[in-house]
Amino acid sequence: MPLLSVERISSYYGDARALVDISLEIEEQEIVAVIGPNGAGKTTMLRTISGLIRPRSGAILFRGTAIERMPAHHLIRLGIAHVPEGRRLFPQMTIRENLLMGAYGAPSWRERGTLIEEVCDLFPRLKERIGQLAGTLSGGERQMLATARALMARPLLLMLDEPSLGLAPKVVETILAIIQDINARGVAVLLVEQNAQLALKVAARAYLLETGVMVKSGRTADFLTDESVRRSYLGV
Amino acid sequence: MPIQLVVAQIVNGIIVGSMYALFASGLTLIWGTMKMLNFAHGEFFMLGGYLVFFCYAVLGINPALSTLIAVVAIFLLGVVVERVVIHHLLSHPVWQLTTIIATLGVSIFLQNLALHVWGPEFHNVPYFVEGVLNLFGIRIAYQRLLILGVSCVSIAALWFVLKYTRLGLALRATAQDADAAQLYGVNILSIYTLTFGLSAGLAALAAAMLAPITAVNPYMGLSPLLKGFVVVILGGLGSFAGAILGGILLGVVESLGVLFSSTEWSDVIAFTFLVLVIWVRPWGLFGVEERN
Amino acid sequence: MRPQIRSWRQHGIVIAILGLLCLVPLLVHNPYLLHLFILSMLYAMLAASWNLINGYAGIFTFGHQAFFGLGAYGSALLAMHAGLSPWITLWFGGVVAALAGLAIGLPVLRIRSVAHVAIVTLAFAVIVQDAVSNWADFTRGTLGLASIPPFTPVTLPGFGVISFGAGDPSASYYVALVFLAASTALLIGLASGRTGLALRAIRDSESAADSLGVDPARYKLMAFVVSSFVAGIAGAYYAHYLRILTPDSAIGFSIMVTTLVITLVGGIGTTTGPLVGSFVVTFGLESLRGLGDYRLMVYGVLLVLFVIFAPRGLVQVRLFVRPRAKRPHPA
Repeated sequence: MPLLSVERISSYYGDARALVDISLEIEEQEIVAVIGPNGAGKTTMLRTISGLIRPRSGAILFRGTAIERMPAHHLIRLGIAHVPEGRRLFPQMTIRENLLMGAYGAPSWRERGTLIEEVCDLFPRLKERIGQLAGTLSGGERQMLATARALMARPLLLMLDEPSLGLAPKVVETILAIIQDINARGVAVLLVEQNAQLALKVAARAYLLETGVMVKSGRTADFLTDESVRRSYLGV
Repeated sequence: MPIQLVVAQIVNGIIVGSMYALFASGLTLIWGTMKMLNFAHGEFFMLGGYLVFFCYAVLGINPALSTLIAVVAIFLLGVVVERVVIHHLLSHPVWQLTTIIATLGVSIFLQNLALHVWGPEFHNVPYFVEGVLNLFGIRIAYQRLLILGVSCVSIAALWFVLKYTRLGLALRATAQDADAAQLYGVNILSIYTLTFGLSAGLAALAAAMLAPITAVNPYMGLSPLLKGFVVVILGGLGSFAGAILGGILLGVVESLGVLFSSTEWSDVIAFTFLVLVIWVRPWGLFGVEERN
Repeated sequence: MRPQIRSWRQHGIVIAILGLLCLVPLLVHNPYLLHLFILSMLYAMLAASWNLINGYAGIFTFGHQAFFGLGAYGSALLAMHAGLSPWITLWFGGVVAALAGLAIGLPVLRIRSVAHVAIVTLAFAVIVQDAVSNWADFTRGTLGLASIPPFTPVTLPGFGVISFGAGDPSASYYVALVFLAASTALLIGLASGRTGLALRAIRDSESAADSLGVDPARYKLMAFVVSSFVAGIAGAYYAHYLRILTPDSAIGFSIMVTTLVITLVGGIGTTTGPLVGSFVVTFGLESLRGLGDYRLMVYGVLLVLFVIFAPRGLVQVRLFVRPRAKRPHPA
């Protein structure tokens, strides 16, 4: 049984249909990429999965449980963590408080403390500045904090929306390495990226979303050899 | 002008200002989390005052218990109003305007309900404690010191909750980014209800403290409401610290203003002060600059 | 969506309503009912002027009653102290209101936050009301002005001498209707023309309008000044028609509430909304009189119900939606 199964979801943004019958699957501990141009509906898709948008039709199953009608705040408990587009940190909270929010669902303060320790080991930069306000961090630090915050929830599935956006190439490399590290520890990753080249470096499988429609899916190798994909998205 | 008079006025201003602060902190909490202006806040204040009057002056229940009853009852009223009236409106377009009109409707209803039940007369509430403290020639009624004490404790408690508890974290998270808050498990609909109720309770507390000083009547909510909005803008929308400091500042400005002109002009002074501050610094003392 | 046709239909409705209003005094002779009609027309002017900046430009001001009151007091005081005819002082009232509009518009329109604008304009109106109340030497304060001179008689060929102020309110009715028609034409003209387009562009996205070369500040300010002028005229007419003024009746917050309710009921940002809304609300409130003490409580409840179930107003045109507005609340 796949970890996450999206089955023929249609979602609307206002009155406009943003997603048309899209389907996708992620197995445990997989890294799956969703690429496509700006405005294709990638963000809408993630927001539908994480419950911020309710789909008009279709089903979403997580470990066999139907989640498409669940309110967003239930999903983190099930093990789905979403790092939204633009990171969406809490700007007037410190790094520490942002991390605490990641563990909002944790059973005790002690547990939260332990989690912070663990996560900070992965992100020493954050540990240094733990008392700093999130709004004052640099782009790369913000992405790290957003990812760290998601990890605080001990997710089974981590969904990242455009993590490379606005970041310098060197920083992006670091983020990619972190994603692979997280994956190695047992977390499945759904990576949404406009930068296809980047996404295909780490993903095992990929989907191509264009104007709300899944036009292609397959192994990364298939994508890399597909002529039209190469032309449109890989700049070759 | 004797220095003692000025000092006495400043002290008085701080005391009354602390009540403005409590009242305004409720308004700013609602704005921060729900991004709406609650025009029924004055009526929560008014009904809180009436409940204290009824429990203490009429039924003779001891003042501390009367205050508690008022605060809890109005908290519950706030919860009901949020669930019944505000809830649906928030997810629809133009909620900024519809919530204002809805709370105006609630305000009109509650005000006239009070008018119907208790009549238009002013009712007096006896002081909770009698006596006057004489400090370096300045006379301060113990009642006023009680107010100061209650406000210090309440503000400290609120601050503690906001900063150090899980609930406070959730509240602040909702205010700063509601989507992200939801993604990490905060039930923001419950937060809205709780915030609204809490805010109403704070208004009732302020009324309970002020009732012995100003009399209780159905229209007593209008002036605090206007001043509350002034304080909230002054301190910066959504900023708790701003509401507290803004409230005290307004109280002091008002009290000092009375020294140099008459009480009738105190409102004009307060509001003109606000308009001037906004002109210079639109986002208030502690507000975050709005970049649309 | 074909806005052109839609707006012609709206204009048609407005003209039809105005036409019907011409016939009313011929059919209705009860002076109290005519009085209600006149009040409705004045409120329609007020609501329409508010609608220009709020419905079209999406700026929510809460101090419009100040302009109404300044027009009322300005005209009344000038007529009483300088002995000028109300036909002249009426315009003076409008100008005073317009100047106030300019004065408050300049700082306020820079602010982009809805809550700020609402509260600052409200504060401004309270300042005006309190100042008028306190300046008792000049304005008689809370006691109010009484015996305000009515409009001086006018000689119309074919009708003879028409006097105002006592007895049959038909004359006052028609004058009010003329003012209503004129201000409606003015406001519609502005809303349909370049100013209106600019205002709507601003409402939908201020920065986009900015980048397109539409200078938001100038258009907003102009709309604001015209809006306050019309409100002032309505106020001045009110003063010389009713001949009694108090700070509360002329500048009180309840005037703002009623304006809000009217615009909501009729439909925000529509041409016909304020017109339809004002009659519905004025006569509706009147019909509640039988409820005695409960009247205003019912009003409050109705308001809440209306806002929850029919936020788009009676004139069921699509409420303006801000596609990029911050919507932090779950759908």
